[in-house]
Amino acid sequence: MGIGIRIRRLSRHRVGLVISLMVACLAALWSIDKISLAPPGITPRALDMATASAHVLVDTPDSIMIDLRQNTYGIEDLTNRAVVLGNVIASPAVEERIALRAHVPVQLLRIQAPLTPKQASVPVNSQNERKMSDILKSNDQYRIDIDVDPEVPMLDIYAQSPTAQSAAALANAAVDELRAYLAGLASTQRTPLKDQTRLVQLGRASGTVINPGARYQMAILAFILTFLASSATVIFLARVRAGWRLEALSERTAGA
Amino acid sequence: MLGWFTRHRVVLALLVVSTVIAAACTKENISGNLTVAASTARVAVDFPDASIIARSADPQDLQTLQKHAVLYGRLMTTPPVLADIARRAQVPASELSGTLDLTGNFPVSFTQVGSEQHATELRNSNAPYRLELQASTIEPVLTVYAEAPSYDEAMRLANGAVPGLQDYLRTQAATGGFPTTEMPVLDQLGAARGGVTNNHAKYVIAALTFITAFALAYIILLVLIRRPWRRQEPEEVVAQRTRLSRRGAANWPHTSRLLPWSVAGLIAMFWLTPFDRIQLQASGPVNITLDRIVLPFVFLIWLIAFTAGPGARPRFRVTRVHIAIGVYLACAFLSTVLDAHYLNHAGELMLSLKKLPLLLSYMSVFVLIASSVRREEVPAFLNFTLALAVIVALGTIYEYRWHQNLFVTLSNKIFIGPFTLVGGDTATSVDSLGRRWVEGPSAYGVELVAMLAMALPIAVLGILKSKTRRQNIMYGLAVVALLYGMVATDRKSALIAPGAVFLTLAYFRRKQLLSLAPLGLVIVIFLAATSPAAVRNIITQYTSADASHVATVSSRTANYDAIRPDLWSHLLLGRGQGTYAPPTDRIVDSEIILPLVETGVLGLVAILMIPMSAILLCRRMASRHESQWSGPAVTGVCAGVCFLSVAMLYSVMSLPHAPDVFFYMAGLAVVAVGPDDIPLLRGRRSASTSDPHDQRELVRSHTRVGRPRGIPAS
Repeated sequence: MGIGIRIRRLSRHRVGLVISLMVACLAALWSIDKISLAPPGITPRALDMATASAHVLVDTPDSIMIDLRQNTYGIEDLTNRAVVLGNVIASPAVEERIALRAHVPVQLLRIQAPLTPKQASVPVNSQNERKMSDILKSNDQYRIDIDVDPEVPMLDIYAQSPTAQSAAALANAAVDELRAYLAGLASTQRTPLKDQTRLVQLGRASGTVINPGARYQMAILAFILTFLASSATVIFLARVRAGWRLEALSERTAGA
Repeated sequence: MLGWFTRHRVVLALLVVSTVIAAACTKENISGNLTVAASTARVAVDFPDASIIARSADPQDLQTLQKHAVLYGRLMTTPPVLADIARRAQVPASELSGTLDLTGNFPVSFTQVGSEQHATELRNSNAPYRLELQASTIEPVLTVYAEAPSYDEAMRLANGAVPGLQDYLRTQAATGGFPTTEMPVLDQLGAARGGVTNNHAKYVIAALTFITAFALAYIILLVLIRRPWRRQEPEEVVAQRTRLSRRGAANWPHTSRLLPWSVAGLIAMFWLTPFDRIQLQASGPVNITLDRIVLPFVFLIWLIAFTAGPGARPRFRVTRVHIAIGVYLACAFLSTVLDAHYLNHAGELMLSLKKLPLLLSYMSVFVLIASSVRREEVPAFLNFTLALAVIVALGTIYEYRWHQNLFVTLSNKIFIGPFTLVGGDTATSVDSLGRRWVEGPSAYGVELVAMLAMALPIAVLGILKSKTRRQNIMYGLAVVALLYGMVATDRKSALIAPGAVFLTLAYFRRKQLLSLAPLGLVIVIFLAATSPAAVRNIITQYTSADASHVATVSSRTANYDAIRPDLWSHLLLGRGQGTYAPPTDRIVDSEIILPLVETGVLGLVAILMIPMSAILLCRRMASRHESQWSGPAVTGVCAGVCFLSVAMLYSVMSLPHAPDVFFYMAGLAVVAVGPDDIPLLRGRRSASTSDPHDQRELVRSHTRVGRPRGIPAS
């Protein structure tokens, strides 16, 4: 019944209702587009979330895939090396080169080094420290998460960005830059080919947007919530106005 | 007959239109291929010369092969190998995805995937053809699970997995000049076996869609026709004469009516038994726990009571809490119905189908209490609740001191025969932070804290209103027992939940509570003296240097980022009620995150509106100190605040004790606050309350329809 009364009150304030609708429409537009007044213009917000993944086997010239002479110890050595290589990708120098190669602003790029069973959560005070406010962040982020399988020397590189192209570019750039880093190191240290670490990228990464239609959902959500809030405000202001008038009337009556 | 149809023509028309709408929605939602078939094959990795089975092999050899089995499992999730498998299985390579399950013994926090990886998993889960690989932890054996939209394709996929992998390995060997005779042998252990996994999916989706669409269409059309916002004439109050005799007409606990007694029995079960762990030993699609047996019985008595006439009949009155509950139920059902195709494809539809009745059971507790308890019975029920809470608190203290869970022990002795208690006694267990696992009748320390905290205001308000020293002491001891019981759980929440309750009490009873300050000091000293270790442990959890970085905190914080892909892919209504659950998903200890993922932003707003609406409904009455219903209203506000507080700390709705207690308390508060029913006439008694203010409220409540609140009737 209370809700019915409130809807009726709202329907009596047609101006307020129209203002509420306009505010809700504006909020819906603002939620999906950036509105600028000087110069006047509308640019779309980054609401899409795209993902891409690349898988790299850290191998030796005699591949462990087909050579059973590579025993458990050999595989564990390579697995440990994969963790080190994952950390190399997350190092500032390589991170910068990845950003350059993927045409992504370096200050927006965040790379999460691989976690291990011994260091199972993100270290505190790192640039990737998790916060509750993360949920409110926009999708305008360029992120790479590097995972290393704890049992076999496989590096999984997961990229997340606002577009499918940039996600794929990031994942592939991470592999390419790691390969370039290793080649540079081998060249500097004159490492023989048979002793070099071999990176086998298992297919080039391709990006996909996982939330097509998010713009419409965002607009609907912004419209609903803003309309409810502004309608409640209209009813509240109407009550304040009525109270004000009543008090003024009683003062006038008392004065007379 | 014709007259009956004419009289009810509006309702009949609504039913027909709703049925047509529901049928159209159902037809739309079950269109397309809903079949999901699965098949399994097992592959052994072996040496090229003598088999590991035939020769004497040291553990090192076996481990090498086992590592290679894991490696092959990983390879089979990568694009080039998937392309070879797709070619062998004659399925589109772009529609095939693969995942490998971690099977080793790793810390839980390590196995929880982050946002980036989960986004990729979501993408892969949409593929019509999927491979799931699982390597044995001790043997060189790899299990291949294949899923496809038809039985034949699933079989082809499982049987094509090994040849596809072999093709890829041969290509690698040829590229590296490695002799193929020295390559590992991949031996498929028999042909794949499989079948259709969701024979009833079409009927399940159809039923769920029809029920949801019908209910929503009917309610929306009814609201549009009745138009509650238009001006209505005040309803004429017609006094009805009860047929009940003296004992029957009396209030609980002096009544002989079955309904309030069955409600009391239900509440006692909620408080005193681990009912969610007491199961009937019968196989079925869902576990038949004690509450799933008792609640339908009480519901049946409630339905029968509708025929009992005035005085005994439940009184159904829609409040804003009912509306909030209805909106949340609508969000929960819509989340599953709208995402039914994906849930069916991902094998999560039945998970949701099991959780929806659980949600309904919580909500039905509220409807049951709010309609069947009389206003005059509320104080008695609150005292009954306090007595139960004190028993639970004393049992918890016993468990803390003597390492024996009395509730579990007694349930084990009482519920024998067809019943079994799963889980057993955990009184000696510790959690990941080394804290004692003290749980009482619930399943989780925080849940127990929530229950006791919701009962705490009854005891505090009891002290405030007590007129004799004896009453004062009894209520004081109850406060001590409840606080001690909470502290005994060793959880940080033992400070947060009662803290929130005391702050709420302080808001409504500032002056009176101030007068209790000396008593509060005595209680704190008593607690610290009798249980210094428990109090110190809890305080240390807040004051230690790593307080904000312990596993329970960091994993909760990490969840907010990790669920972003789920949130952004189902922003409005989520991915489906009850579908976000381990082991495929993260462990989420928050009633903020879980509804956000499962029912979207709208669902989160709706679920938060339930305690909020209870608070809003009760706050005005709670402020009227002179009213006898003020106390129960304050209790309702405290229950709402407590529910909101603990919602941040764990997923309240996942475990049944706390939500059942909350909905019970909210139901009592709604009864206490709301306008009384039509006065029962028995003899000369016409009003059910002696409080002049309440009598005034009673009159206004029946006549103020359409009149702005606060303006007196002329």
